[in-house]
Amino acid sequence: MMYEGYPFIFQMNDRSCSDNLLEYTMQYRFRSTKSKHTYIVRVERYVDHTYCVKFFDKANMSSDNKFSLRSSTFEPRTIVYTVLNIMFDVLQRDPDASFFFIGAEDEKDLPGKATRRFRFYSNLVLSAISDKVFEHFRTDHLSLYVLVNKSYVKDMADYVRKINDYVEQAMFG
Amino acid sequence: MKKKQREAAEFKKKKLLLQKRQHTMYFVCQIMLNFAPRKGLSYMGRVVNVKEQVITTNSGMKFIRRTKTVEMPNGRYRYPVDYYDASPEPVRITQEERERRRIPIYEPVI
Repeated sequence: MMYEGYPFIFQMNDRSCSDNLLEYTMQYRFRSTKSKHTYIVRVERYVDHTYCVKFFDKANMSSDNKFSLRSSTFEPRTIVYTVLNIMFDVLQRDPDASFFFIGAEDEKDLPGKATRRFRFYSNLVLSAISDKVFEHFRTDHLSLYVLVNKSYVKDMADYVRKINDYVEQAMFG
Repeated sequence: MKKKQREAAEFKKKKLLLQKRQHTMYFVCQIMLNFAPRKGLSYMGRVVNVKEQVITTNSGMKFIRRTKTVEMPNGRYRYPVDYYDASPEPVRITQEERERRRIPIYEPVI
């Protein structure tokens, strides 16, 4: 199978960090059979059926740089396939869902600007998801990639600009 | 007499061995010092400097050419170059860009 990832489980809906934009966070978990590492995937649901996908190694849970740290387990593709499968699971639950993600910078990158993770994720998403259901947008200087659901969002430019502004404010203040 | 000679020879041998060990340890320490992380950085290849240059193509598109200066553990420098889009606004990915960037053997799921 092309996009065969690890089996995952849905853990909970976390409503502890909700605000006027963030409604709640869906938490998934999977365990790598190769490296025996456990990964946590947090899918944040914002207003207008917008979801932000994040994942990190459970061992780095308490670290401030948990999204930037590399686990060096030599299986990035399998992990990203699993995260893709989790995205499809969210899409099954909510057919109007639009997604966005940010490629976190590692120790060799400048904060935000076209990071290595962003290039890897965007190439993979471009290959795996066609433009039948989603319209693809990218912002290189924020390492932001947005998948806009064609059936739900009418004014795409305005919608993407809102996400862009929100991410820019969250990253640079 | 023979016993004293034997003891002296053994002592000399031990002293030589000790010297040898000290000598080896000295070199091991030197090597370890050479490979010790500098300025608290522990990864291979340290980014010393990043230079960004705006490039405008004939068709009017703006790119940023990013040149990094990376110091390698052997003391030499590498200058990797990459490019990214300079526009601050979100860019819609066209069919042409998709065909250029996608991994050929991958088939879209949805």
